[in-house]
Amino acid sequence: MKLINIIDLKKYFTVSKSLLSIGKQRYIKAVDGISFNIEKGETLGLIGESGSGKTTTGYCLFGIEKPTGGKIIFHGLDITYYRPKKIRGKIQMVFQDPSSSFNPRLRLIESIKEPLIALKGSTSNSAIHDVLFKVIKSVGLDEDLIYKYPHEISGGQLQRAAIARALVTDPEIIILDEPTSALDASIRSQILNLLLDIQKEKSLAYLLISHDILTAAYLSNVIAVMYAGKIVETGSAKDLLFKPKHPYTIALMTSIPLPDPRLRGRKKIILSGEPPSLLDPPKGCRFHPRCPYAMDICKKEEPQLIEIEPTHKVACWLYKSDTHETN
Amino acid sequence: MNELLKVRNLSVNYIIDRGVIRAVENVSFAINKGEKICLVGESGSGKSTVALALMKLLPKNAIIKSGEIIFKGTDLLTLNEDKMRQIRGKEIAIVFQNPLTSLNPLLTIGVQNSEPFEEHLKMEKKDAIQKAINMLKKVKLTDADKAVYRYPHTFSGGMRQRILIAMMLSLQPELLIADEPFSALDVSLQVELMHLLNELVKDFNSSLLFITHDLGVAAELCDRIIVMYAGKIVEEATVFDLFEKPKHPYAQGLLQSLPTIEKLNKRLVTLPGSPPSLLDPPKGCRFHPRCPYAMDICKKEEPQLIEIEPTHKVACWLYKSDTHETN
Repeated sequence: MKLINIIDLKKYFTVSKSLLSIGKQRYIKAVDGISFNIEKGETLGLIGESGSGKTTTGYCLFGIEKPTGGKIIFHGLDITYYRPKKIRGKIQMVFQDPSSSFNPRLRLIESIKEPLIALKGSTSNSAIHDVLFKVIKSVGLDEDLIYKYPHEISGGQLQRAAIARALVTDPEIIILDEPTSALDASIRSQILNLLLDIQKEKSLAYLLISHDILTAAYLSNVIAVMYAGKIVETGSAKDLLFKPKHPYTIALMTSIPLPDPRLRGRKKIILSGEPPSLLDPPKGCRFHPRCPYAMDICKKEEPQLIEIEPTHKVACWLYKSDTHETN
Repeated sequence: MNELLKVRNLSVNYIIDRGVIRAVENVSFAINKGEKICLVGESGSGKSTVALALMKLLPKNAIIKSGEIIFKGTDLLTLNEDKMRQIRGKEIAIVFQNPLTSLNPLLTIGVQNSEPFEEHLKMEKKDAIQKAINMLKKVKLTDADKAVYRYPHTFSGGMRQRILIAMMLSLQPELLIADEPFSALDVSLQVELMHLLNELVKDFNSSLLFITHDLGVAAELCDRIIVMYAGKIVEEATVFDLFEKPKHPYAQGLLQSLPTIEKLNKRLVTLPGSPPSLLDPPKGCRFHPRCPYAMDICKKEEPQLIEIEPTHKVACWLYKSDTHETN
């Protein structure tokens, strides 16, 4: 059984009506029908540009946004709208900016043990402290640092504390929302290694949300590329880096700035225009107004995610015919 | 080669309640005509302070303790505010990270982008706006003719950054300083704007001082790289030398810690610890507490930036003996 099944997940945000707007309610379709699975101990990387819906997807899984449609299944249990007590704490989240995800008026230790107290209620202090110090040790945080306030310690240490706070409830999956993008390069690799070590030790699953393709590739088993609320391609990190199929993925992969000046002259695909408004997304494929290969069908019908190799799926009309032939 | 700008022994302190932050110390470098230089470093390394010092736009609590900034033969530090105003925008211009804070929200783009022409070239309003429209077309802003009547908030982040680049390049400054101009943008936009900036700088024969924390961007863009750590220059080299044979242990560690395509699924090499507080920087080499090769002398004496090859400089005791021998 899969740890997480997301089936046709949708999240629409209502737009407040102005005095002049007449007619029906309008929606921002932030996430519009996406499906994916996460296995135990594995990482799914959701990559995409800002506004593509990756963070909203994370929030829906975490439970702080209620989906508009679709299903979220955890261990075979439908948790889309109601989460029974036994699974609370099993899905945790680490946010992008550690300095804004801690209460500035609480010592770190208070923040880190809060989820545990909320979950376990009146458990004795010593039991809580046992768990607490084990976790703090496992994230490599100095024990004397946890009695400090968030502003007193560095960003890297604070992100370790955020990871500790997510770990105290013994989760099975952690949603990592851009866990390293607020950190400096020399700290980033420390946190990436830590995340890998913890994952191995506890066979944790991660849903990694990132705009940094190389970071996602480094941590993930499977990567899903989102564009304007839809998944346009999924595959292994190697599939996407070395043989991307969707024109958007191709553009994204060729535009990663690579730390090697000899590769400067490589062919880059520069997209024109900007992602569409999600209030009124284009008909058909949402990428067609920017796509260099757009055909007639792209403007009319939406491509479905189809399998082109066992682990590699793409939603693009260019590849429709291929599968028909091979089938 | 002819030098456009020469910075000699620049030291900048910030006075805060808790003491003195030694943000930039004894920084010396030169920029030649038409050259593209990247200043690379982590947050707090002093790279933005250098940029602000060059423009004489440092905040009030900053003190330039020592140094010279010689631009075309004159020391900018000796000029009064009136003289500086004639240089800013016309001969040296700066683009900041967040375009929304650089643009005046109450004025239309036309008013703001025509200002350089009116102020410095004393043009008539009508001609100045026409000039502004031409510049906006050069940065490929869609509908430039109409855009001049719109306000900054009606544009997307990418558009705003285009507008700012157009404004700053209006008078074809001899030196353009760009302080993390694309860090807030998505990769596909980043690559497009980087390309655009590159072309414009070449067309105008301007020099570029590009400040970034992203080594990938630096590798794509510049001719020469200056690496800063904790307020000091630790290494300076051509882009190829720096990426192929980095000398300073900090630069080496930084490059090794980057996730790259070749390193997928391998553990990243990390730099231990985090950058020091500049309220009380370590004695000797500021990198020694994190340096795997730290020797006794590193803790006592500060290494000077020395030339180990004609275009390669490093500030590290490991290389001290080499030059003594070769000299």
